[in-house]
Parts: sequence; C-alpha cells; structure tokens
Amino acid sequence: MSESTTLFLYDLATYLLNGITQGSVYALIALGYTMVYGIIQLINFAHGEFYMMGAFIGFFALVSGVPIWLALPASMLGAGLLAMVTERLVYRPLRNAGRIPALVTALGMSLFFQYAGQALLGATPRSFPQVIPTKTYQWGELYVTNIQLLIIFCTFVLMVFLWWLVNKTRVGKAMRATSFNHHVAELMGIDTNKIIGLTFFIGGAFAGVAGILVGMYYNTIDPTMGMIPGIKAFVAAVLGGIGIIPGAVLGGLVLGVAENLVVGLWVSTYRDAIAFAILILILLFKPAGLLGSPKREKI
Amino acid sequence: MSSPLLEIRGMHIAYGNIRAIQGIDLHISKGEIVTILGPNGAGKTTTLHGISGLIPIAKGKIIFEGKHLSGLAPHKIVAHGISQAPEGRMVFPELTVMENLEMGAYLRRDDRIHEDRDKMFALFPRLKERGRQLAGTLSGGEQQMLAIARAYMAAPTLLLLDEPSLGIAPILVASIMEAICEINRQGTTILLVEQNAYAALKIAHRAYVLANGTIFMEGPAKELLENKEIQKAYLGH
Ligand SMILES: Nc1ncnc2c1ncn2[C@@H]1O[C@H](COP(=O)(O)OP(=O)(O)O)[C@@H](O)[C@H]1O
Ligand SMILES: [Mg+2]
Repeated sequence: MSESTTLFLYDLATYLLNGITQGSVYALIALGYTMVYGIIQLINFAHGEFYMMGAFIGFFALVSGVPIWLALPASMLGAGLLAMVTERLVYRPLRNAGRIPALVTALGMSLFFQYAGQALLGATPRSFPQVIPTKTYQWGELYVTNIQLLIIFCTFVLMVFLWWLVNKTRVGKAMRATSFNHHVAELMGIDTNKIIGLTFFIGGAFAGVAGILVGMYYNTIDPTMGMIPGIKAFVAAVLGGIGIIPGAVLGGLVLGVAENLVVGLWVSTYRDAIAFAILILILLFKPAGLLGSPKREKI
Repeated sequence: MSSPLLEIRGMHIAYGNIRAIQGIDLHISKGEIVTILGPNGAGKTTTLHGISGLIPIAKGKIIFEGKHLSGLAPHKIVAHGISQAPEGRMVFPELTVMENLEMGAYLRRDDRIHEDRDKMFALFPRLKERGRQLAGTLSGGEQQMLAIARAYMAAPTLLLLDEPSLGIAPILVASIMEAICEINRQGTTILLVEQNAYAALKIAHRAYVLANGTIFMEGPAKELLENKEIQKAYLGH
C-alpha cells in the first residue's frame, strides 16, 4: 500500500471513530424521543433539554467534589426525575387534547427550559471540570481518547441494559403492551400512567448521561446546549423509524458517522446540514424509517 | 336469596352528547353465564367498558362483591377480580403468545400461574404449539383463543367476553363456546356479550337483550331461545 493510501485509511478510521462517539450521544438522546413517541405518540421536543440538565447536574456534582462514578448515576437520576415530573405536570393533563396541542406544548417546554436555564444558571458557557485527565491512545495514525472510549462503553452498557429491560422484564413487557394500546394494557391490570412515567424517566436518564459525557468530551456546557443535539437526535429517531428502539440506535450511529465523514472528507461547514439533508431524504424515500415497515409504526 | 356477584343499577353512559347507555339494571350471580345480546350499536361494548372502568359512568352504580367500582381506574378493577377479553381480540401483536399470557397475569404473585396457563393450553392446544410465536401472526380464531386465555390468566372472579365469535370461522365458534362453558364449569362467572344470539343462548343461563342503550327483555336463556320475538329478530327463524 502506498503511504498516501495508508494515511487515507487512518483518516477514514478516525472519522468513523469520531462518528461512532458522536453517534452514541445521538443514540442515547434519540432513545428517549423514540420511546416516548412509542408510548404516547408525542414528539417531545423538550427532550434535548434533559440532556442539558444532565450536563449541569453532572457539572454541579463534580465541582462540589462528588466522584465521577457517583456523578454519572446522579445526572441520570436527576434528568430522569425531571423528565418524569414534566410528563406528570405538563403532558399528562394534555394526554387527550390531541397531537397538535401536545406538540406545541413540547416546543414551548423546550424554550421554557432553555430560558429558565439561562435565568438560573447564566447564559455564558461554563467549562466542565476535567475530572478524568484526557489520555490519548495511538495505533499508527489513529488516535482515540479515553473519554471517547468511555462514551462508547457507557452507551453500549446502557443499550444492553435497555434491551434486557424491554424484552425480558415484566415492566418492559408492560411498556410494549402499553405502547400497543393503553386501554388494553389497563385491562391487564397495568397502571399505564406509571409505565408512561417510567418511560419518561428512562428517556430522561439516557439523555442525562449523554449530557455529562459530552461535558467531559467537549469541556463546555451552557443552557442552550440541548437544542442542536436534540434536533439531531430527533432526526436520528426518525431515520431509524420513530417508535422503534433499535432504530434510534442505528439512526444515531448512522447520523454521527455521516456527519463526520462529510466534515472530514468534504467541508466542515456542512456539519449541521447533514442531519436535515438526511431527514428530507428519509421522509421522501422511506418515511417509516430504516427499520420501519410502512404499517408498523411502534416499538 | 344471596346478594349477586355483580349488580348494576340505573347505569347511564354518554359519549359527549351521544347517550349510549340510558339507565340499565343488570345482575349476575356467582357461577352463572349471563349473556347480553343486541344488534350492532346497541351499547353492549359500552356496558363492558363501563364495568371495566374504561369509560366513566354518568349516573348509576356498579357494585361488585358488595364494593362500589365506579370511578376506579381500569387496572384497579382488574385487581378487584374482573378481567375482560375486549372486542376485536386486541392481543398484543408484537408480544409472543407466552408474553401475552404473562401480561394477563400481570397483577398476580401467586404460585398457581403455571397451573392456570397449563389449563388454558389444555383448553386451547394450539396456543401451546404457538407459544413462542408473535401473537400478530396468529389466525383470527387463534387470536380469540389467546384473548380469552389472556383474560383468564388474571384469575378473575368475573370474566367479561366481548363478542368472542366476531369474525371467527363458524366451525371455530362452537369450540370457542364450548371452551367458555368449560371455564365456567371450573368456577369462573362469565358475562358474555354476543351478536350471535343462538350460540350465546345455548351456553348461557340467563340473557339480557339490549337495544338503543336500554334493556328491553331479560330472562332465562332457554325461554329466550323459545321466544317468538327473539327468534324473529335474532335467530333468523
Ligand atoms: N368512542 C365513541 N364515541 C362516540 N360514540 C360512540 C363511541 N363508541 C360507541 N359509540 C356509540 O355508542 C353506541 C353504542 O356503541 P357500542 O357500545 O359499541 O355498541 P355495541 O357494542 O352494542 O355494538 C353506538 O351508537 C355507538 O355509535
Ligand atoms: Mg361492540
């Protein structure tokens, strides 16, 4: 192999690795979108804000000396609870109001959380504490940091956990039953309100852990940080097939990799346009998403 | 006479300004099969929805084992011992047959779940063969068997069945009715809603005939089978 080919392959591997890292974050956020949609057919546009909250909970935990292995679950728990409370106080009263009022409310909640965040925490970005000193490993010309590995590892563990929860546990089966039909699930004795609350909790927790991980990866956080990743995760969920759990993971990874390939091989200014190009293409050619069959729209 | 297992007094149910149920009285004693007959749109499903708590009742009382049920969430009513196989079967299509049965037993913690499942497999051997299959891949008749078995898995005191013969091949209707009879013989009280009056009256002890949200006839099933008016309207004589 010529030297330039080798270099090109290393470049490609680097873009792939960065793409998988970024895609893991999208996947973690997209799961919440897709699970919430699967269970109450709501596009929760405020979902990106739970990622922001997770980042801030992690930030405050870490600066007050909480060790990282406690800060991670703390941001999951905090963001999960906030998502659950939002469902209870805001979305539940609107459950039967129709899709458009709920959608508009979700957009409103997104702005509310961003502005409330700016009012309470200030609009200036904060630098995230460097609790884990960055280490870079090198194979030839391929570089990978311990933070990237941590992100990929956490995502993998959480995916396996979620797969197990949804497919193997009583409560997971109840989630699938509820996503089919609330009335029928109730007829089994399932408290569907609890199941819906739990779904928001899991979605929020996954977004929350993505937030703290991204804080460590990019070293900076601010109250509006959830907006762009939130939109991209939504695209990822639609790409995979909204309501389909493995679809969110696939969509997130495909989007992350596509972005990094385009930025690396082409022009970096197109980064944020990729997501929208993909969204338009998927809506045109395969509106049910990569894993969706035309009729089947749910988990 | 001992007090009935279920008693409905003066029940009214409305969808907005459509008054679907307009003051019905109904009672079921322990051990009975009671059927509610009536044409499409009579209010049969609405009545079962009222009992199961899926729709609020506007007026009236539902008393089960001496306790008032109105206002309870549907899952609480299951906990009180009333389960339902809803109209159109509504099995969970993306869950396996086994998982559907597990969902039926959602609230149970006792150790007789397996025993009850085996009872259902004895009653509907096809369900056992297809245990690992997704319920959505079953035929209509098999889905109906699954819907009944799933409701049975709650170990209900009262089992509500909404048109189990709907859309089922005629040869299967008889075997499903026979299975319902067997479930009743083993001690479960049954409220069976049917448009197929002949099939229902053959296995029921008593019947109510519903039309336009009111009960216009009731009596022992045998008498209704012989009743000229019923024969003309429902039995195609
Ligand atoms: N969700 C609903 N919204 C409005 N009207 C309804 C609804 N469900 C049933 N109805 C009306 O209530 C009446 C009784 O319906 P239903 O209980 O389904 O009858 P049956 O089960 O006897 O066929 C019908 O007139 C029907 O049109
Ligand atoms: Mg009906």
